[in-house]
Amino acid sequence: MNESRCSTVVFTGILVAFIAGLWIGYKRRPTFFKKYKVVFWITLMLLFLMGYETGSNAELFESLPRIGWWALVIAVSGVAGGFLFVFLFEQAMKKRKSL
Amino acid sequence: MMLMLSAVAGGILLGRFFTLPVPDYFVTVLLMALVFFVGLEIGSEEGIFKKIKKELALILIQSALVISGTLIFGWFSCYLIRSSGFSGKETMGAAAGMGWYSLSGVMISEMHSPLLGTVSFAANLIRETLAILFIPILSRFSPLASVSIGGAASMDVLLGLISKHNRLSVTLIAFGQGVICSLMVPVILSIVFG
Repeated sequence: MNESRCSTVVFTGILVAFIAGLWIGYKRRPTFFKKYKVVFWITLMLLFLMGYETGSNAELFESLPRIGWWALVIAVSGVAGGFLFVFLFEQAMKKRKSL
Repeated sequence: MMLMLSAVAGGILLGRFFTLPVPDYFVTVLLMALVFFVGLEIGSEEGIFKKIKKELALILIQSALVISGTLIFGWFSCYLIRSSGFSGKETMGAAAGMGWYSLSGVMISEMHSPLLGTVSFAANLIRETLAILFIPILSRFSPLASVSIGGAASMDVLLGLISKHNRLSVTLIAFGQGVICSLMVPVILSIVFG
C-alpha cells in the first residue's frame, strides 16, 4: 500500500457507503448487524491489518517508540482546543443568564 | 479497548515475522463496509433524530466548538513536535478523529500514510483515556467543556460515565455531540486527506 493510493476513490466510496448506511438504517431499521456485532469484528480486522502493516514496514516499526510522544502532544492539543472553546462559550452563557 | 489494542499488537508481531498475502483492495473494501455498518447503526437508533432535535441549537454550537477547537489546536500542535516532520495539515488530521481511534487510525493509514495512521490511532486512544480521567473531575466546574473532551466517543463508550457525573440535559447534549462528531469524522478525514 503506497501513501496516496487512489485516495479520491476511497474518499468517494467512504462517503457514499456512509450515507447509504445512514439512509438504509433510518428507513429499514435492521438489527442483524447488532446481533453478530458486525462493526466490532470489522474494526478488529482492520486494526489487526493496520498493525500488520506497521510490523511489516521496517522504517515504520522503528519509529514506534517516538510515536507515543507525538500522539500525546496531538491529543492534548486537540482536547485543549475543544475544551477552551466550549469553556468560554459556557462562561458567556452563564454571564448572560445572570444579567 | 484491550481487545482492540491486542489486535493492533498481534498485527505488528505477525507483520514483523511473517508475510501475509493481503490484496491492496481488501482494506479499502473492509473500510467501506465498516463505514456502511456504522451509518446503519447510527441511522437505526430508535428516535435518534427526535432526541437530537430537542436540544438542537445547543448541540450544534457545542459540536461546532469541539470540532473547530480540536482542528485549530491540532494544526498548531505541529510546532510542538517539529522533530516528527509532520505538517499542520497532518497533525490536524490526526487530531480530527476526536477520540474515535479505530476509524481515524485505519482511515488515515489507508488514505494518507501508515505512520500518521498509527499516530492518529494512539492520539485518539489517549483522548479517550483523558476523557475517562478528566470528565469526572472537570464536570463539577464546567459540565459542557468536560463533555467536549469525549468528542465522538461521548455517544457510546463514554455516555455512561458522562450521565453519572452530569445532569440529564448535559447528557443529552453529550449524546448529540457524539452523533454529530461521529458523522463529521469520516467527512473531515476525507476532505483533509482526499
